Amino acid sequence: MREVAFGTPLADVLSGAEMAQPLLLGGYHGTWLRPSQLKGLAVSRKDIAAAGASIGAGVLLPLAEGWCPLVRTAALVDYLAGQSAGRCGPCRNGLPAMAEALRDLVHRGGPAGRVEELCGLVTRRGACAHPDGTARLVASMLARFPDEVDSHALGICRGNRREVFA
Amino acid sequence: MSEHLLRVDWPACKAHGVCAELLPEVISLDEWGYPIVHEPVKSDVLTLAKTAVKACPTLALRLTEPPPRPA
Repeated sequence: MREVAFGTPLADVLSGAEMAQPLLLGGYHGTWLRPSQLKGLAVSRKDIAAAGASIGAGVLLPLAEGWCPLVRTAALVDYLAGQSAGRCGPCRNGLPAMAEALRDLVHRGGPAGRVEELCGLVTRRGACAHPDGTARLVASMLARFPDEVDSHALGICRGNRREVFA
Repeated sequence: MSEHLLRVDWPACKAHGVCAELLPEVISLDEWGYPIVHEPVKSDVLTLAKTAVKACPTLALRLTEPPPRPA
């Protein structure tokens, strides 16, 4: 945990190796950013909003080297689906369906359209924002990593973890 | 004339689907049977909307007037 002043360059907070990786900004309910978007970015609401993200819970999660952001997101959504309180139907049904659709996309080259559809079906349809935050994470994955989505559709993962298509 | 809005009390809704039966003009059901409210309630279907609100077995549907627009 670090306390930094607003305006601190992101490069002062993250190492050089971390700056070269995709960053999940704002925690599990946050937004993915590509490495190219991190250059020159400062820890400030204005800068981060301009990059199309929000600082959220203030958690920065750089992707570990060799990992594919899609594989990571699928694992996160698996976890988040399990964390639904299960009180509202769209979340109770929608998040497990979203986790399944993501597994299908990431590991079996399934359609991204189904994932997008489920993002729409859970957003603003619950008493709390747990489904909204989960949909935000997934929507940012689709928006930031279209090349990876395309290559997964062809059965190719750019991460170096071989078990992905096992 | 201002348009009314339909709101769903999500924890209360148990996917009976009565609202979509009574007001298909505004409400459809998702793949799990929960309502999708497509648009504000126009005056021509206001009576139907009130019926749908009253008919909900779990009282999960509410009709609200939008706040007045700032002058």
